[in-house]
Amino acid sequence: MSKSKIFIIVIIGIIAMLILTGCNNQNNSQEGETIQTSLENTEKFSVKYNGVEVTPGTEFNEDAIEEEAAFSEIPSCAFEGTDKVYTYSGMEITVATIDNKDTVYSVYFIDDSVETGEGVKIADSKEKMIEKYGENYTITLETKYTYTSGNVELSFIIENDMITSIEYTLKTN
Amino acid sequence: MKKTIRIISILIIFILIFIFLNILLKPKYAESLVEGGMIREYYNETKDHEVIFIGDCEVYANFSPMVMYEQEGIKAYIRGSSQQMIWQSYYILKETLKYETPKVVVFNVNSMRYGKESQEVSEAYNRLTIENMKWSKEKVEIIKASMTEEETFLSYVFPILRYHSRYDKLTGEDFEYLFKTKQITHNGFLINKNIKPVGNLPTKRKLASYQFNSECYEYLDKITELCKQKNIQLVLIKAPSLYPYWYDEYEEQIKQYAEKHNIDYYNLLEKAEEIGIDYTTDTYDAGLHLNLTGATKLSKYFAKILAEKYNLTDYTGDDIYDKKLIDYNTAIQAN
Repeated sequence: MSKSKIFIIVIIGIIAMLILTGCNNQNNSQEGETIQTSLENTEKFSVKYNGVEVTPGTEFNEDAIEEEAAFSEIPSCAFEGTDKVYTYSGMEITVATIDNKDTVYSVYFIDDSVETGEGVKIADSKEKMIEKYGENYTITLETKYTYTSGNVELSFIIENDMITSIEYTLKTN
Repeated sequence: MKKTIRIISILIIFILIFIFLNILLKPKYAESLVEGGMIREYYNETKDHEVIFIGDCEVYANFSPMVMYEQEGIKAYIRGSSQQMIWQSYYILKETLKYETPKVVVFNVNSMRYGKESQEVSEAYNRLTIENMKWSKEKVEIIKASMTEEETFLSYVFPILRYHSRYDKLTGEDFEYLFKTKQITHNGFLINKNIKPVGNLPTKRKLASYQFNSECYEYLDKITELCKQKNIQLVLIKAPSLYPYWYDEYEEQIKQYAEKHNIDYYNLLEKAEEIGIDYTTDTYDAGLHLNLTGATKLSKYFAKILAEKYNLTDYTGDDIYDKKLIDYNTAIQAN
């Protein structure tokens, strides 16, 4: 093979490598898309509302909950398009479109009428949280304690040793 | 000699194909996802603005410079973009000041709530703001300041690295706007005539901290300093968008900052009633952004403040701006 041919092949090879490197780093996401999340994990936190299980990462069935919700739509922070927000008397469920399915993205407790799957509610003590969930949490901004199970995060905001906020969120990666 | 010419020819052809593919595969932001095309429109503008707005969607959706011109003869331009983070606002301002020196820079403080770790920071929004900036020192800096972990600098240089898999999603738009662009805004304002009244808004959630991130303050300091150096009056505003919630704790911090640095701050959210905003008719997405009628009311109100307080020139009768105004009104009719 002549030197000139080798030179051309090397140049083309370098450019092809650059493109392939880009492929690996770009996670194959497309224009306009935001972060995608894996829904494959099965071990995750779950919570019940009016007897209906609401698990972040699973499809949301609005009709299953008998109580009528106030409804709003807001631009999605983590996913494409808009999030649907269903506000019930005790909790707010945010639903995002993932893989063309209405998927529970977050569950936010509005008051102390609702408790987590493990029996913790707003106004409970930090001790109770530790008793139920252990000490394998991360702390952010000094007041936010987050536990992770599968692809779901459960966060408690604690002020003066009392739980003032509870939220489940589907982890994005 | 012949061999050398052949090699050079092959390389040139290869490079031309590479450049062509980069242009073809990159999103055009002309008919769809138009927010990505706004930032480039500034480069074709006259550079004699006395007021420059910087910030997120709360500026490009809520303020109409053409209404400000019609009302008070103000020449204003909005360098806004979707989810424009404060570090991006800083570099966009820095770039703008290379072209012109306005009398007033208006910064919408909504982005002070988002640090670099916020979930609102995403590649998609980064691209909408950065991709269509002209190459400059500021573009390099804004990329470095904005990139998420998944992004690479090189993918901004060669869009094909990012968009190579768009080949099967190309539409007519990609070919129609291969070598041309489409006017999307009017001096940075994006017209939206739809009406979606405010209904239920999500619950005002408790936050772990209401304290603005230190890096946001750093960039606000940089904006303040940049304006001071150029003898530009910096004005802070909070646009009258009802959501995401503007917490009292945020308001207090901005007030303190403005007072400390002797900067004017206008919370236009608090003035919604005085402005005459009716959230049942003046918003296109249930209170997040104003529609054309809402933006017109707000622009008239704010133009009066700008004209009265900041010694702006009344450019009424300017040939170029009169023509722009006609184009604007035509676009409204056609929209």
